[in-house]
Amino acid sequence: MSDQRTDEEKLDALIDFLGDSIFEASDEEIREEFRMSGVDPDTEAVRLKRMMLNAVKAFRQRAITTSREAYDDRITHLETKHYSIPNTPEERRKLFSFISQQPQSAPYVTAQYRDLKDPTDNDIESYLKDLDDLGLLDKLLHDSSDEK
Amino acid sequence: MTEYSSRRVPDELAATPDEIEAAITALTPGEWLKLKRYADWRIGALGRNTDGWTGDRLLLAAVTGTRRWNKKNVDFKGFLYGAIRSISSNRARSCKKQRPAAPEADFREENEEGELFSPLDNAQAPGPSPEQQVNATQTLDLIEDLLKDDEKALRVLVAWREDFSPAEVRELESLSQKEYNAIKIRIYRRARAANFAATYDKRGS
Repeated sequence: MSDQRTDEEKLDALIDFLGDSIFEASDEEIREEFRMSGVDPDTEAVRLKRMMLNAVKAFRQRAITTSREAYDDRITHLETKHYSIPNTPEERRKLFSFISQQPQSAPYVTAQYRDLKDPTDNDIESYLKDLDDLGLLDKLLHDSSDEK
Repeated sequence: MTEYSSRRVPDELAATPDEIEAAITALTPGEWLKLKRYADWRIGALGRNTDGWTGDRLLLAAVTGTRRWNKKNVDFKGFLYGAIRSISSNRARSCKKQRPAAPEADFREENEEGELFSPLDNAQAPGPSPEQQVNATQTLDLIEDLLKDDEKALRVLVAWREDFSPAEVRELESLSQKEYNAIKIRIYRRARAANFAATYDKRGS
């Protein structure tokens, strides 16, 4: 039999080997081990289960907190965002009408808005905000003024 | 026990928190006690390189760490066993490659593919130092010494130390699997009762 492993490797393997024996022992043998070290096995098993359940609960809570923080950040961002669109519905409608008539606006006027026969004030406001969010409102106005 | 794979488990196969909670609840007291003993054993084997980790912390890391349980491949107990073993082995490897051992924030890291690795995995392993080799030899001698009144267990350990495989040891000593397992448990208990960690205290130094 060749002896190629070092004692360091043998010791590592022995740790694995003996550790696995824990799972080969009967439940009663393990319970007895706990008793002999002064720990009540029933109490310990309950403690371990509770500890693990608490860990999962904390993990869930952390995930909820992270989602909640992301949601709050987004809402705050939306609430505090200033749009470069006119303040009144009339002025916004005028701007909408102007933009939708410009040939360079065609790619940005989505079917949703193109098909609107009579867009509401809310539709118009949403559309202009979308354009502003995308950074296109300034571009379209700038391009239109260049063409004039 | 099924070996745990370190490959990243895809989202659709990874157990949900609900499923993990149900699996925790379903484990029997005996299974919890064995997992705890196993985690303690693995931590004890790290000697002074535990870096403040305990069996409880290792157990918790197995379930709250970056590893995901693929319940189609392995049962929950098998998953925890594999995770405990892998985390502690990784730590031991890191310690061997760092001389002297440097503090680490965690026992392992995971890359984008979900593979666990140590930043030192690719470093050239210098091999055990002469001091470590001597310490390992002394520890093995000490465990042999602990078994001097248990001839069968001593013979198994010596054969095993001489590189006989478990099957060869059983054949050599004419042992049934049951007898062999019982001897393994006796050796484990002797090592544990003798404060194995303390005898192994210079590990990694």
